[in-house]
Amino acid sequence: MSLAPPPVRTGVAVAARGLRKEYGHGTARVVALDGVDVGFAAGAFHAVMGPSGSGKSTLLHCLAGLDSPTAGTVRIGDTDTARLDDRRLTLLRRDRIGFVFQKFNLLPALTAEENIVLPLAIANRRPEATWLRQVVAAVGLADRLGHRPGELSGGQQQRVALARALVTRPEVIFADEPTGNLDSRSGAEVLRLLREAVDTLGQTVVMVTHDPVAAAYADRVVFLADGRPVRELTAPTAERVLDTLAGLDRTAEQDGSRVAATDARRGR
Amino acid sequence: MIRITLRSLRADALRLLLSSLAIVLGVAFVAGTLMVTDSMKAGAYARAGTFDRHTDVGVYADEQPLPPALVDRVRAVDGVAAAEGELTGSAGVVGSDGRPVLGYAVLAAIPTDPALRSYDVTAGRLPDRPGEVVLDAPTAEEEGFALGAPVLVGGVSGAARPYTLVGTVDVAGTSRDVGGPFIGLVGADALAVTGEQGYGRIMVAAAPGTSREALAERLSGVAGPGTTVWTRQQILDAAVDDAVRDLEQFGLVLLTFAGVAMVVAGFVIANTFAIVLAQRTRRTALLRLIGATRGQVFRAALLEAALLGLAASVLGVLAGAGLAAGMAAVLSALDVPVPIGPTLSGPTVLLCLLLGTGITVAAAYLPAWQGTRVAPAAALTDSSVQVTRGAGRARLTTGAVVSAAGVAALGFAATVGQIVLVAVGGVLTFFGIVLYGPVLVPALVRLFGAPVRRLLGATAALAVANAVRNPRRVSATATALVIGIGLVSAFVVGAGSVKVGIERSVDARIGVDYLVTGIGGGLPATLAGELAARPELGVVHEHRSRVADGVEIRSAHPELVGRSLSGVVAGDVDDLRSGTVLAHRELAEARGWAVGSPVVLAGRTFRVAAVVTAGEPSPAPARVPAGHLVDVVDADFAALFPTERGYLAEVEPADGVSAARARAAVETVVARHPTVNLMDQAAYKKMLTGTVDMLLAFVTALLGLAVVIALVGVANTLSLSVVERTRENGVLRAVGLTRGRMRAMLAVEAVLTAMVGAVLGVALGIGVSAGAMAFVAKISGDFTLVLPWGRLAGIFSVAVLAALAASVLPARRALARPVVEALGVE
Ligand SMILES: Nc1ncnc2c1ncn2[C@@H]1O[C@H](COP(=O)(O)OP(=O)(O)OP(=O)(O)O)[C@@H](O)[C@H]1O
Ligand SMILES: [Mg+2]
Repeated sequence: MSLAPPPVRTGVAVAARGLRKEYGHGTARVVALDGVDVGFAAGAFHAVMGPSGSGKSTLLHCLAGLDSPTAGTVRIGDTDTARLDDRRLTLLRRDRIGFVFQKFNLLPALTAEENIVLPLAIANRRPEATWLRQVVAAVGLADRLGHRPGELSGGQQQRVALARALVTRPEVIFADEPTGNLDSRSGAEVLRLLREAVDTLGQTVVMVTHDPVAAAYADRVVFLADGRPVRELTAPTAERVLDTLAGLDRTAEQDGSRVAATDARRGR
Repeated sequence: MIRITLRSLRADALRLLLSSLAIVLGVAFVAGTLMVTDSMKAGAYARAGTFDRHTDVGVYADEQPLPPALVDRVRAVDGVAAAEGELTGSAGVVGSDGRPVLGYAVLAAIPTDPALRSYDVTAGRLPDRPGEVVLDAPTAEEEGFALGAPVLVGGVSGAARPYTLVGTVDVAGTSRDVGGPFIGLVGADALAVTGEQGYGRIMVAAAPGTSREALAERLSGVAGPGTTVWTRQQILDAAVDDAVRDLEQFGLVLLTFAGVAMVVAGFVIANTFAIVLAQRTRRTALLRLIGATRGQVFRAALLEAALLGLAASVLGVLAGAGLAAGMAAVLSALDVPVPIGPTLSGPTVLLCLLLGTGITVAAAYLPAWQGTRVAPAAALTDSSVQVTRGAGRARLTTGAVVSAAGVAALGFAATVGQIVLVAVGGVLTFFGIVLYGPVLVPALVRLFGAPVRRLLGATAALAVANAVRNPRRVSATATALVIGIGLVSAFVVGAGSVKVGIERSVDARIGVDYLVTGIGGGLPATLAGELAARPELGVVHEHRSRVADGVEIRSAHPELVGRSLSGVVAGDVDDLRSGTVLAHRELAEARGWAVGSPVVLAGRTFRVAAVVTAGEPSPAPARVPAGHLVDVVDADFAALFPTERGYLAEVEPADGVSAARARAAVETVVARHPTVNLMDQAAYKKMLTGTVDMLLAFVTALLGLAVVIALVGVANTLSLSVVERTRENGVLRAVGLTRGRMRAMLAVEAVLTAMVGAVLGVALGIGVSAGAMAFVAKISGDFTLVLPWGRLAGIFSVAVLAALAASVLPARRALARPVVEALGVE
């Protein structure tokens, strides 16, 4: 990929402080995020992992301004998102954030190309022809631009979504299990593209994943459990990620057996 | 299966609510109409015998009125306790302001024999002798007439004379209440005012112990030929029939419009089921996967339609009751008598429920059949949001053939001379549009969308893409609008053209400053003479005509006749004077007449002054072959047919008299005649075109509901689409579409859909009107197609604004879900 030299991006791209998110009230209350303090450095590839229900998606939504936290602050660059009304928040997403979801990322009525330039079209901006060509070439879709999503494979659709996230040169790209729906080959392709975006373009990527292999593409992995960051790995490999996850499970199991034991003692 | 159907109905209740509104409105219209006409009928029954409470036998005139002498002969017949002549006609009352009391006035001869009197007196008494009058209570009250005061009453026979007001009566809701005053006089006065030679009927009361049938038998012998004798029962039956026939026609007109509304509702329902079943594809497939047969899912869908239709019909009947009250209020504001309290009868309820349910099921039939043709494997795909295919080739070919046939029928209706072809052409063209819609409508949406895109950018581009992604859906939504808007614009264009035609024809035929017209009847006999006697006035010409021996004889004025002629074949029009005639060419050729020929008309001999051709045939239904026409001067006409009255007199000031003085002179004369009206040319045109405007307003109001239902359909399609695009809209919001622009996107989609419907509708309406006007133009060249652009633009803007409004609720629905939740929807 022969892209333009990476723009210099330093400092913290996204940061959360005391982030809390609760759903429901009373007995039905669920604490999805329980005081999360975490920062994501600019120009790096971050992965977020954790057991199912640990709050990964919730964290991503709060960071990306898709959902509003119950308490705490989120900063994107210099902007405190809590201070923004719905309109400004929407514009922030449009201009400064890119998204890749697990599936159904695209508008079925639009062609691949129209989907890619959608954020620009919404912003009434003309795509830079050379940049667009570069992005399209990078994701390998040059001959598929006129097709609608229904006529593309799942991997191709994800690459369209990735191109859409890249085309606005956002400050940060959020991806929630972008490979969750793909076979390992298509998944590897998407991950390689994310990696390259970080390396050659200086993009910042925050990706939620369940797959240790996927996490190994990242520069750093943040582990969540019960709505709190519990561990971190830098320069991860798949084995170390697996080990860490197993460690988390063991802690959880121990927690579980301890509770069971207490209950048993009380019962007696 | 039934349980599953009920479940899914409950689950989709909200989705179906809006579309069932279409049925609710349609049924409400039908129910309201039936209730109003029912109650009017009930009123008619109740009032039918009002004036015959004591009549045992009636002797009715066939054609010639019954001479007063016959009344005496009837009275002398054995078994007759009382007999009196009765007639009804028109007359006028001069109001307290010196001007005629407005409205069509009914004059009736009131029996003086108490044995036959059948009026409800509200104050004073009935007239006993000549010179006394009763009025209906409201008129007396509005004019402030006191009992014992003189009231000026006049009719066709001559100037108004004073009569003493001796009482007031209540005739509300009867055949003698048509909105204007009611005037009751004794027989002799009634004959004098109306100028009639005799009575319309003789009312007879039988002596005690005399059988009505036997008496009728005997009276037949006395009355002789030219009369019909009816017993009491026959009289009442005829009265009821009469009253009900009119009401039934009125009801039929309303029901026709209700039918149009129901058809549109059917379109909306069919579209809704197509959409809902498409959205439910996965669920249907799942049912098939676990073993439900196609027949089962199909019947379940029909059952769902039936339940929905029934529920909507029940609501519709309830809404209809409200509507009926409203209609009654409107009608009584228009002076159509409606007895209060419309009644909801069992048959009405049953009919409405059957109709609403039936139409819903019928409309759902095809979509249900297609929507349940789902392969079980579809359970595993995500098919409802995909861009769907358009129409098949067979459909398009049929569409092309049908629309070609329709357009041809519209184009050639005039040439062939069949007005039915216009209707057939309109319907065929509409079906052509329906069949071709899946291609035509998206193309038009793109076309109209192009400028909007330039204006609104991506918002509009998304709206266009969303609108056209399902060609059948957008086409069905737009074509539902075509029906109502097509009919409205056909009437608007037709009415506009007719109005211009009337004005042209008035301009062509009437070249004078003042017109005097009769209100609801002919001009008083003495009026023309009184006008001519005024020195301020020059030309005074009363339009009259009469057919004798297969020739239409017309009164003409030498100074005015030129306007109605297009050419002179031979002779000199200026030779028209007493004793000469202008013969029209066709007649002259048929009878071998030439200038100077002696001709005999109604027993008198005239000489042909000139052979002429008419500018154009008169638009009235031809009573004689075209061009079998002679013009004679007013004096000769009066001598030939002294009793024939005209409806219109042309008046022009004498040379050198100012308009104001001439007008004052006409007014002085007219003031004595409460049955005539003075107008200048502009007012005359307005009077003629006013009727057209009123009819148009009536028709537009009735068709309005069809348009409203179609707009409900637009809102409905949009909100169903919003449901199925929940996730997409979530993506859009995530990547930066603001709430305002989401609203704008949906508004543009609704407006474009409605715009296409409106444009197609207006085009169809113009086509139908053009066909009809070409037909009318053959009868009278004054009538050509005129496009009232202002009003058409009005229709268009109403459709667009309503579509904007229709997008509000779906937009609210689209924005109600938080982005994260929308993204997570499966
Ligand atoms: N809308 C909601 N209402 C109530 N509870 C919710 C809602 N969304 C998430 N939760 C709860 O919040 C917690 C965190 O959910 P979240 O989706 O963030 O988990 P996750 O880590 O992304 O899990 P997975 O790996 O399964 O996607 C869970 O216990 C979940 O049940
Ligand atoms: Mg998740």
